This record gives sequence, C-alpha cells and structure tokens, in this order.
Amino acid sequence: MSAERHLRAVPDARPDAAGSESGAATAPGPAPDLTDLLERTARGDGGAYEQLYNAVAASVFGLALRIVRDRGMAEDVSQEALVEVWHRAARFDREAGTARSWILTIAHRRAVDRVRSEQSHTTRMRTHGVREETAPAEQDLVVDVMYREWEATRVKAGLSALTARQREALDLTYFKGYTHREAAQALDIPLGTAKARIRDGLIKLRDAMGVER
Amino acid sequence: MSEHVHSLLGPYAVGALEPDERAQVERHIGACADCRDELSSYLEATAALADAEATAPPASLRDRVMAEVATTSQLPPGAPGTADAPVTDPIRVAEDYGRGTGEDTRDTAGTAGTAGTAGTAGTAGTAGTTGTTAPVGADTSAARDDLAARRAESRGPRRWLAALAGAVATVAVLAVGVFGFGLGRPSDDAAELALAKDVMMVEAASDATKMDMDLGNGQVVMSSRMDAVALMGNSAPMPDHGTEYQVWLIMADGSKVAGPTFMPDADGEYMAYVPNDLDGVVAIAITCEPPGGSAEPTTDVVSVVEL
Repeated sequence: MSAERHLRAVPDARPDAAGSESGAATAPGPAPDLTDLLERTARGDGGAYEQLYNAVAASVFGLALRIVRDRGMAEDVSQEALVEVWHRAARFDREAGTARSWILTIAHRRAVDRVRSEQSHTTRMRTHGVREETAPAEQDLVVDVMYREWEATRVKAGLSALTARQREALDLTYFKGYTHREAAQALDIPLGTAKARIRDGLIKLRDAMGVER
Repeated sequence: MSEHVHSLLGPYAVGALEPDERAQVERHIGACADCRDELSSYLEATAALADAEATAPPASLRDRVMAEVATTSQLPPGAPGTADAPVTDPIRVAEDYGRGTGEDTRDTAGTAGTAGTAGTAGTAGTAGTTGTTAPVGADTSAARDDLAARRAESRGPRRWLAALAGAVATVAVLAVGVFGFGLGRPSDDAAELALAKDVMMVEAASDATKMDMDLGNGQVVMSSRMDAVALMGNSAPMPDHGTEYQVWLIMADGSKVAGPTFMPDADGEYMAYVPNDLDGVVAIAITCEPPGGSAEPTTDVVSVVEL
C-alpha cells in the first residue's frame, strides 16, 4: 500500500482525473498507513518520516495558512509543527487517536498560538480572506491531490449537514482561534450553548463523513 | 464534575480551551475511556476540516524541515507504566512545547525531563529557559508565557473592550487588572490581564449575580451563562504565614471542588476566577492552604458565601 506513496508524479500530470472524482463514495488512492509511518519515524526511520511528510505536509500547511493567513508565517508554523512531529513521534499513542489527528492537533495548536501571540485581532480581520493560490507545479503527488479533493468534497458535504450556527461556532473556534468563551461572547450566547454548538457540529460532521470510532 | 469535563470535549477538539481547562480535560481522558473515544472521534472530524484546507507547501519547506530534522534529536517513548502519559501526551506535545521556540525541540535532555511532569507550572518555566538563540522560524515572543495571557496582551483588551463597549463597570475592572493589582510575580502582567479579562467577562454577563463576601471588602460574582465564578475585593488581610487563599465550591452533596489559590497585593486587593459549572454549587468558601493549593481543604474556612 504505502509503496504507492513513493510514486512521484510529473507535476503537470495532476489536473483532470482528480476533478472527475469529486463526489465519489470511496477514497481514490490508497490511504497511507500513517500510524505505521509515525511509529517507524519514532524509531528514527528517516525514510518513513519523508513518506509521512508527503502525506501530511499539505494538510499541515493548508491548516496553518487558513489560520494565520500569511504564507511566510504559515511556512514557519508548518516547519515547527513538522519538526515537532519528528521530535515527539515516540509519544504518539494509537489508542488516543489517529496519527493524522495527532499531527494536525500539533499543527493547529502551533498555528493558533502564533496567531494569538503575533497578530492583533484587527490585523487578522484585515487580512481575512486573503489567500494565495498555489501554483499547480508545486503540487507533487497525484494521489495526494486526489485525496485532498475527495476529502474537501466529503467535508463540504459534511459541513452542509450542519446548521449555520454550528458552522459558525466551528469556524470561529477552529479556524479563527477563538476560545469557547470568546465565541460565546462574540455570538452573544450562553457558554453552554456555545459548547453545545461546537459539540453538535463535530458530531454531525463526524457522522456525515462516516468517521469511525 | 465529570459532566462538566465532558462538556469541554468539543471545545477541546477545536482547540478552544484555556490552558487550565485543557489540563482538566487531559487529566480526565487519562482515566476515562469513554471520553477518550469520544474525543478521538471529534479529533477525526477536526482533522477532516484541516485536510479539506490542504494546500501544497513550497518545495523549500520540505528542504527546511528535512534539514532541521537531520539535526533534531527524538524523545524516547513515555515512561512505561504511566497510564495517562500516552493519552495526554499527543495533546501535551503542543501544550508544552508548541509555544516555545523551535529550539526547544532540540533540547532532548530538557524536554525529556520536563515531559514527565508536563502540565505543571514548573514545566512551563523550565521549557522557557532551555531555549537558546533564535532558531529559524522561531516565535518572536521569547518567553513561553501562558497562552491566554499572551493573547490577552496582544489582542485581548481591544477586542473585549469593543465587545463590551458601554459596560463601564467592566472597563473599570479591566483597568484595575492592568494597573492596580500585584497578584503573583511582577512578570505576570499578562497573566493578570488574562485574569482580569476572565473576571470581567463574568461580571459583564447578563445573568451575573453578585453577593458580598467577608474577605476585606469582597464580592462574589456568578454567571451560569459563563459557567464561572469570580471573586474580587480589597482591604483583605494576608493569609496565614506561608499559605495562600484557596477558593472552594461547596456542592449540594457536601463535596468540595478545589478552585485556584490567590494572594492579595500590598493594598489588600485580590481577584480570583473559577471556571466551573455552577449546577449544584451551594456555597463558595475560602481557606488558607499551602502554596499551590490543596485537593481538599486542610484548614478552617476563612470566609463563606452561601448561595
């Protein structure tokens, strides 16, 4: 399975096949066994780490970019997070979640820390919505591209199952770095309501996407 | 209590908790398989949100990461036999080091040592002193201050003041928090500001109720909407020598929930903030406890407010 992750496509080969996959019920390419890669990384396996990088770097960078809204800063955050994955790989525990969620939790916290510490709220608001498009030539793996597009479609479908208020609560907290108290204040709702919206939104999203566990 | 922690799992999964609440959740999931599984499923949902944002990074990122990894040591596995270590660790990773510099990750001895006691204030201090010179991509904020505190410093006041424009009393509380209080160490300005913000939010809540408290000229402010209690006052005497004041929530069944400790400043002014579900709380009490607080009251009650 993971051998296919080695296949590096010619950059230009990326385009159309992925688009036609949208809405497919099953994932296009093989899902790499990230748990295995992470556990090998924990034993100092540099090759496994590189495969892991290939599998998660785009998500880590995209998440960071969405949160910090600055490409250079997103690169710094991604670097910190990805190096931290290497450094702390042995502390990953498969009982506590998947390798992907473990890595993305690290990346999320790094990004939120950065945005909270270095950017004023007004600065974030000013740059809100500015998002650089990526040059296609930089997207290196066809499998990754297909996986991402499939995932984006799936998540979009999942998000459409949420109420506008649930989406708003998730957006404020997960992507804008608000705490649940700040979100409650901003939305002028009781804290308990904010907590419930976040939880209910996650449950709907999880169920709509068929996340297991 | 466990219901309270349970309600924090969603906010935890989206990274929306204050550090103390985060620690509360991490302690809990170390002992509760149901909550661990539930949180795990939420984290899958948030991971999917992140995946949907996937954007190819520049090739130079790969080069930078691989170069840094080549000179970065790896932590050994967590100490065997510590049931809570693996569960909380993935979360604590970023908790303990996420706001440090990239340099922290190279400090094997330091990080390994602190990992064992992760989650304590002492750990925080240690991490801060193990960093060396500014690494590539390091946070410009040198100290690894309390996250909430840093945020309060950088963007909090403007936001909260804007959000609560018109709440004059509230503004007054913030001003006191910034300029007046001497809680804790002098370097804790940012932490004080965060505390002031928390207290202010309770006071500004539409359902806030206030009661006098007999500790100097004190008040207890409660808000169910904010799930929190705030204490504030002045002219308080210092606690017994070698102790700190600690807040307790007394529940209807007689059990006691340990709150934070606090100290009056030179003028006897004090503030404390207790984020907790108020259901079933019948009284707020203050005792003198050893520095850092106790799990159960060890001395007689100094002051009590019955609700």
